Amino acid sequence: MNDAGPPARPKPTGREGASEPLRRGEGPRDWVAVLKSRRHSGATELLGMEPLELDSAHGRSRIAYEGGLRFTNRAGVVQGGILAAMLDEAMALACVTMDEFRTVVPTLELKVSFVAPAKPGRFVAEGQVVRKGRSVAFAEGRLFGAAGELLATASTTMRIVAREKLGKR
Amino acid sequence: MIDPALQARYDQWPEGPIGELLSHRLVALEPERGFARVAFDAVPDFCNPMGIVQGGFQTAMLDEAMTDALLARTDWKFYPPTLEIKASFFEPCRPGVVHAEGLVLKLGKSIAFLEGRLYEPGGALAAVASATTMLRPRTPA
Repeated sequence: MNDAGPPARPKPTGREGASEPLRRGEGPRDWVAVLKSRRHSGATELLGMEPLELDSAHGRSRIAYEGGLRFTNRAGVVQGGILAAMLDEAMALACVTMDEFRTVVPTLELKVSFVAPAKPGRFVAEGQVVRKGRSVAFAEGRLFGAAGELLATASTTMRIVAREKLGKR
Repeated sequence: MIDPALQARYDQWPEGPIGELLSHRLVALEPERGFARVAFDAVPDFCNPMGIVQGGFQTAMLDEAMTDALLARTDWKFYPPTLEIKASFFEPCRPGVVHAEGLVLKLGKSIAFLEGRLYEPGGALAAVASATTMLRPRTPA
């Protein structure tokens, strides 16, 4: 047999249907509504996180963030590390949505390339799980500026930890 | 600890709002070696749901430390936008006073290569990073 086409796996790896548009409410639950109802962490609030689309079947996220003046540097653009924080979270959300929020995904490593200066405004981050195993996941991300311009690209390796193992809710 | 003339030179180009948000301050600076040690206040606003400083915010701190090292090494003659940064996270970083170090590995005519280390409030090495930056001549203030 040849190697063309995705491997036949019972669990989604995140690549299936990658060319399909995101649809809100994919699967049995509206994950955007679920995320909005959860208590947000400090970083999530500070970044002004607003979920737009969460696709648990395909491991994709689309999240809006507030690239505010408080994040700008001496050049008047949002600092790269803040862009990294937005991408970090968007990629994590793409992954935990696949697990229906039953896991947390500490970042092992994160690489970000800064393609264009990030003038302050409302940004949109897109996260895409590339491969999700039992204990490690790989994801990629893109961040777009207020005019839809590409600001940054990212890739990450995350560790997958079941929430029940943490002794938390 | 820091030579007052050097601190004055550093203060001539403040980092801007992000520096205030992170409570970014200088601890040690060695321009000839291209080395900087800085401190930040990692507050709960930077933390993820596990109460740990989020990776992206640690990356922001590492970026600042590496940039400080480069600015000192090049006598603040350039504006150094970061092209790419890669960070690896070894240990959780809890809120508190965080120290970060930056070091210039290679200084070219228009590109510099940097590395950085971040220490969590207990003193353990929490994260390391590498970065590539451009060197753009600074327009006169």
